Amino acid sequence: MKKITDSYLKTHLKHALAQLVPERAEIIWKMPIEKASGEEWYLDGVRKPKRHMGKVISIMTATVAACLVICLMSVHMLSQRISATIYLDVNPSVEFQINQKEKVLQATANNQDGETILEDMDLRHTDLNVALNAVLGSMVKHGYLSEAQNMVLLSVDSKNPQNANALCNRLSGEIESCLDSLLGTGTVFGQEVQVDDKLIALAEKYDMTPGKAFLLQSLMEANPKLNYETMSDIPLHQLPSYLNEEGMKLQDYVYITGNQDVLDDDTAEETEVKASEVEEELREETEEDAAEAREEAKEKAEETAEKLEEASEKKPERVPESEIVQQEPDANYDDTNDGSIENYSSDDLEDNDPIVSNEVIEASDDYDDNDSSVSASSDDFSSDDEASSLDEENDDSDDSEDD
Amino acid sequence: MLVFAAVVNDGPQNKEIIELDETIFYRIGAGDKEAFCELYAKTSNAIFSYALSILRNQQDAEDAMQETYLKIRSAAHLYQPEGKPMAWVFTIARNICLMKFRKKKHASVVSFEEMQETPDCSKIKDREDRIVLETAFRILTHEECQIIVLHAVTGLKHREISELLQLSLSTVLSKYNRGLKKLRKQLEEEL
Repeated sequence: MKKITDSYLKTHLKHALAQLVPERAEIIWKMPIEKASGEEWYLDGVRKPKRHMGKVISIMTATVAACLVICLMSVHMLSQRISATIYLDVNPSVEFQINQKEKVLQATANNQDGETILEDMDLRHTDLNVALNAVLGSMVKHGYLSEAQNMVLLSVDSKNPQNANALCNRLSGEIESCLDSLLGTGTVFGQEVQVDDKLIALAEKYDMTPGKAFLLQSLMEANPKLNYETMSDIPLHQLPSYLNEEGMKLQDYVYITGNQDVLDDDTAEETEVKASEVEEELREETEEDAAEAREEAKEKAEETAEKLEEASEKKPERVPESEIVQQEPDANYDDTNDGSIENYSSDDLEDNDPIVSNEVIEASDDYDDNDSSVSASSDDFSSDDEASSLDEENDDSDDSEDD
Repeated sequence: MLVFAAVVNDGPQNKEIIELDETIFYRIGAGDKEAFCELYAKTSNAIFSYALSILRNQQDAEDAMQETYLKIRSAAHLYQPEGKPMAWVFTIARNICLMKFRKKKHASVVSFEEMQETPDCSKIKDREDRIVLETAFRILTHEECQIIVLHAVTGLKHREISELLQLSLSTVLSKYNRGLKKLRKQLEEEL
């Protein structure tokens, strides 16, 4: 029987099949063909090139990523886009730039007092309501707003007139509520403004917000006798009465929210008087406090002087060195009798009333001078100075004992 | 650009390697006759043998092979280099052979088992070659025959055969060894 190997089988199979293959290259080449489109059935299962798919996938991925970046940038730009500018004038002048969500993008002071108000405050990214409350509270704290001076000029600048009107109405109410809670009463003068470069320049010149500059501009357009120099110096709480004297009404130029009595001449005058009285009282109180403090300081100084004088009287006279007598030590002096050096034995304790307890005696019996853990010799000292100082201390104690 | 090498182990002394440059398809698509004849010369044995292992009929295998090369000419311009040009060729050949096989099966009243034909081996001059071929087509199943022919003639690796026939590697190895064992046993008795 012939041994059949795998190699034998494969070889003979290949040779056998090779003899059956027809030669048809020329015939096949001459046959007409149609160019395939790629979707033919006989191409089923042909693996599509990874490079193509990879390219498609990478293009799609890049497109999606680009769209995402554009969307994120758009959202970010929208959030950073200034929707409106809010101006507050009391005497301090501040302005807030807000986005569509009424988040503060930037808070700026328009004069020195405004910088005092905004000092140490970072109001960016806070809600406008929170920022307004913080600023009004700071104005009260620094004395710019009080019961006598409780008026605020609110100006809203927005490209959307409807938005400006709605914002102005809502913020006027919120500021008035805030003033009520802080001061018990308050008045808000609200207006919608359109700020241009001219107003900005005027505002910078006269240390006010463009909102207040807009109001003054409106007043001067109605009454040419008025001028910026005079008007810019008039405090807000005096403005209604000043305009009344000119035959003008402030409520014709702004919305009034809150206590409307301030527009009345009599009330305004009372308020002015009250304000000056309050200022006087404050001044007097301050002067009294200062005088009291001076008096107290004076009394304390006098007391201190007396004490020093007494101390100097009690101070003993210094003995001249020539009169100091050096005493010779007593050779017969017995240290053991005066109790200064304690030297006990158990016999002594039995006969006499022990000064120390038996526990101490036992401990002393156990004490071993040779124990290295408790040894103390001159070698243990870290420096010669310490050793010498110790010797000096011993000498001093001996001297005091002698005395 | 050498991208495919099929090692055909023709005994320990003769190791044939099929080298196929992928650019040959671009040239065929561009109308290069020499490129087509080169392709035919290198691959016709493998394609015919594979077609014969599926269709078990020489005439059908010749027709299938011819149609395979026609489709290669039609789709040569669509070939995308992947480093496996023979896989591309065999995929086309397989689709064509299976289509022919299904048509034949539906058209004929003969059952699948009765379609176990053996090719006409009268043209094979060597006796042992003829006996081995006839025995293989007689006793091996379709899949065993395809796997052994592909491995013996084309030099495809078992992994590549499993991808082409869409069988698991373990199945391919199992059928390959079993088929060879059957052939060995049978031929040891006949020869």
